[in-house]
Amino acid sequence: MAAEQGNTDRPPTPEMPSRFTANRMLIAVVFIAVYSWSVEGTGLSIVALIEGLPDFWQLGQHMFPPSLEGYEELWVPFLETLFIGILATIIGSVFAIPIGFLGAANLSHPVIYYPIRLVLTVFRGVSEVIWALLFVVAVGLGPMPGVLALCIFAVGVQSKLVAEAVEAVDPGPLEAIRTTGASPWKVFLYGAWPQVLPLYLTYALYYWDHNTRQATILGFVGAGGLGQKLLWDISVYEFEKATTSIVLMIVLITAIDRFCLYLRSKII
Amino acid sequence: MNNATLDAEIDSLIKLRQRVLLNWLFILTVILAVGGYAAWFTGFDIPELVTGWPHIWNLLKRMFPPDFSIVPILYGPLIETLQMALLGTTIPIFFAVPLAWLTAVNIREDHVLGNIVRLFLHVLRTIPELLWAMLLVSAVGLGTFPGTLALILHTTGSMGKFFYEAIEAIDPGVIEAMEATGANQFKVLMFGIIPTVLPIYMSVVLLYWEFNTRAATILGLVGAGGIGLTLTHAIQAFEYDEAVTCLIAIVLILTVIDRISNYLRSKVI
Amino acid sequence: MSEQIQVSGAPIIVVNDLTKSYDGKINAIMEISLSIAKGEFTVLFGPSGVGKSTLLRCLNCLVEPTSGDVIVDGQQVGDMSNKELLALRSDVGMIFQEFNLINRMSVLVNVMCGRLHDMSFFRALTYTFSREDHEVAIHALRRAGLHDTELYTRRADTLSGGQKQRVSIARMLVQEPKIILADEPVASLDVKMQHTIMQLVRDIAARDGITVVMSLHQLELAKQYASRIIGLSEGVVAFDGPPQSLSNDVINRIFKIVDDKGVGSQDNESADAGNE
Repeated sequence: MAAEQGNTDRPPTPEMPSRFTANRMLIAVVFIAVYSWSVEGTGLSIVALIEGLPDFWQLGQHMFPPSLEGYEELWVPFLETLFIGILATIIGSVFAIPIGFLGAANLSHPVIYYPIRLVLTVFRGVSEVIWALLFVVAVGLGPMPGVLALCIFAVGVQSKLVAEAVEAVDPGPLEAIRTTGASPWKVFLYGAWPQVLPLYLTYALYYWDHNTRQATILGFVGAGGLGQKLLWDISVYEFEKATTSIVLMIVLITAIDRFCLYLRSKII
Repeated sequence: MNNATLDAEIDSLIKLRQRVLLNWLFILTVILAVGGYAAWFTGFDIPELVTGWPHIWNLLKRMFPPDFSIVPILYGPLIETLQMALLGTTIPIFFAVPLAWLTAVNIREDHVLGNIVRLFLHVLRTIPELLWAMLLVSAVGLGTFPGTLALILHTTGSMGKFFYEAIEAIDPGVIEAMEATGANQFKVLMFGIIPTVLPIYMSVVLLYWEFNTRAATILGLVGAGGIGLTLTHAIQAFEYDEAVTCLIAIVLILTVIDRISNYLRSKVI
Repeated sequence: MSEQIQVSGAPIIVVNDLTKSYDGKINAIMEISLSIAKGEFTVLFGPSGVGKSTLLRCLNCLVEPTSGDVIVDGQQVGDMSNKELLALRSDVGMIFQEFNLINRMSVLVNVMCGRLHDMSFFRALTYTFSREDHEVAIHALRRAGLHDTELYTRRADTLSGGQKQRVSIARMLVQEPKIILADEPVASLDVKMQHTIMQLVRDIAARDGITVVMSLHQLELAKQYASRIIGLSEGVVAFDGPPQSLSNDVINRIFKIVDDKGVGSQDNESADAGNE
C-alpha cells in the first residue's frame, strides 16, 4: 500500500492492527490445551475410532434388516409416546400462561417475580430424563412419571418464554387502550395479549415437537413409551426389533415436525 | 352512504367474526378432547397424583439434607461431562459445515446428493443423544468414548440443519451485488456468504454447547460416562442424599455454562 | 371546509400548582397553573423533553402528579375512585405520535376498542362486538376520512402513517369525548399529511364542541390552528396567549433556555421554530 507517485497529499496509511495479538494467541493456546486434555479424557482418538469400526459394523449388521416380528407389541408404546408428548405439551402450555405472567417483571411484583424465576430455572436446569428418573422413583413405573417430568421441564421453559414475551410488549397500544377508560383486564386483553399470543403459540408448537422427542427416551428410565420397549429389545440383544422401534420413532417425530410447521404457517 | 349495502357489510363482518370464534372454540374442544383421551390412555390420574404425594414427600425427605461428603469424588465425572460436551460440540462443526454446504437449496447443484445428505442429517438429529449412546454402548462397551460419539452424531445432524437453514436464509441481493462487481465464486463465498452466516454459526455452536452439557449429564444413565453414571449409581443404591448432591452439581454447572453461553452469544450477534 | 372555534367561558380543565417529579430529583413540570375553557384549541408548544407529554398525561391521570390538582369538568381527578377515573377517561380521547394501534387486529376492531369502557364482561372477553359497535365505528371512520370499506378489514399495520392516525382519531371519536388530548399527533407524518390531520382534528372539535389540548413542536402548525398557545420551557409556562402574540423574542426564549442547559437537539427545533 505504498503512496502513489506524485500523490504527496495523501495521509499516511494507518497500520493495520496485527491479527496475532498476545491476547488471541493466549486464547488459542488455552483452547488447544483444553482440547487435547478433553480428547485424552474421553478416550476419543482416531485410533479408538478405527479400533471401534468392526464393532460398529457388527452393530449395524445386527440392526438391519429391521424385523417386524412381534409388531403388535409396538402399538401401545407408540401411542403412549404420542400421548405423553401431547399431554405434557397441553399441561405445560396451560400452566405457562399464569406462571409466565407472574414471572414478568413489568406485570408482577418483585416479591413474586424473583422466586418464580428461580424455581423456573431449577425446573429447566435439570434434564427431563432426570426428572423422569426421580418421578419414577417416587410414583413408580409407567407413563405418568414421564408426563410429570416433561410437564415440569416444559413449564420451566415455556413460562420463561411467556414472561419474556410479556416483558417485550410494546407499551404504546397499552396506553392507548387505557385512555379509552377500559378496566385493567380489558387493557391487558386488547393491548398486551394480542402481542403475546402469536409468540405463545409458536413456543407451544415447538415444544410439542420437543416433548415428543424426549418422550421417546423417557422409557429408558422406565417412564413408558417406545423407549421402554427399546430398552428391553436392546437388553436382550434383539436389535432388529429395536431398529423397527427406532424407525417408528423417526416417523412419528417427523410427522409431528411437519404438522407443526404447517400449523405455524397458519398462525403467523 | 348507502344504508342497505352498509348493513349487508356489517352483517358479513359479524358473521365472519362468529365463524372465527367458532373455529377457536372448535380447536379448543379438540385439544381438550385429545388431552382427555391422552390422560386416560397414559393412566394420568389426578387422584393418583394426590395419593402419590406422600411418596414424593418421602423421597424429598430422604434427599435432604444432601450428603456433601461425596463432593470430592464428583470432580472426575464432572470433568468427564464437560469434556464430552466440549468435544461433542466442536467436532461436529467440521462435519456439519461441509454437509450443510452440500445441501443448502440455494447453492447446491446435485439434487440427489443434496437430498440424501438432508435425510442423513435428519436421521442423525431425530435420534436422541441418549439413544445413540445406548446403541454405541452396546457396540463398543461402556465409557465416555461412546458417549462423546453419540453427542457428535446427534449434534452433527442438529447443527447441520441450522447451518443450511442459515445459508438458505441469505438475502439473494447480497450475492447478486457481489457478483455484479465481478467477484468470482470464491470471493463471493469469502466476502459475501461467510460474513453473513458466521455470527449465526457461532451463535448455534454456543447454543449447542449448552444443550450438549445438559445432554452429557444424563448419558451416564446408559453407561456412557459423566456424572450421570454417579447419579444412577446413587439412586440404584437408594442413597438419595448423595443423588441430590449430584443434582445440585449438575444444576450448578448447567447454570454456569448457560450464563457463559448467553453472554458469548450476545457478543456474537 | 373549516369551522369556527366556539369558545364558551366556562373552564373545563383547571390545573393548580401541578408538579411532577421523578425520583424526587428530576422535575418534569413545576407548579403549573392553567385554566382551559370549553371549546378552546390549546396547543402546548415547546421542544422535546420540556414537559408537554407529562402535562397531557396528568390530565387523564395516566401519570400521577406529585402534587397539585387537576380538575376536569368540575371534578378533582386526584380524588376519584377507580370507577370514576375510568368514566372520566372514556370522556377524554387521546391520540399519539406513534398512533398506538393494535397491529395484528383489523382497523375496525381497533376503532371499536374505543367502546371497551361500556362493553359487557362476556363480550369483551370473547372479542365480540355488537352490531351497534360496528355501525358506530364505521360512522367514525367515515368522519375521520376513511371511506374505503376494503380498508376496514385489513390489519392495522398494513396502513400508511396518515391512515393510521385517522384510525386512531376514529377510535377516539367512538368514545364521544368532551376533551381531546393529542401528544405530538403529527410528528411522524409528512408535511402535507400534517396539515390534513390538523384540519381534521380542528373541524371535528369545532363541530362537536370538543376541547382540544395538543402538544406540538412545530411552530407553523401551532400558529395556524390553535386558538391559544401555551409555551412551555423547562417545566414551566413561558408564554400563554393567542398565536398572534407569539413573538420571535418569546420563541427564542423558549428554545434558548433549553439551549443553555443543553437539553435536546435544539438545532432542529430552532430551525423548525425559525421557519416562519
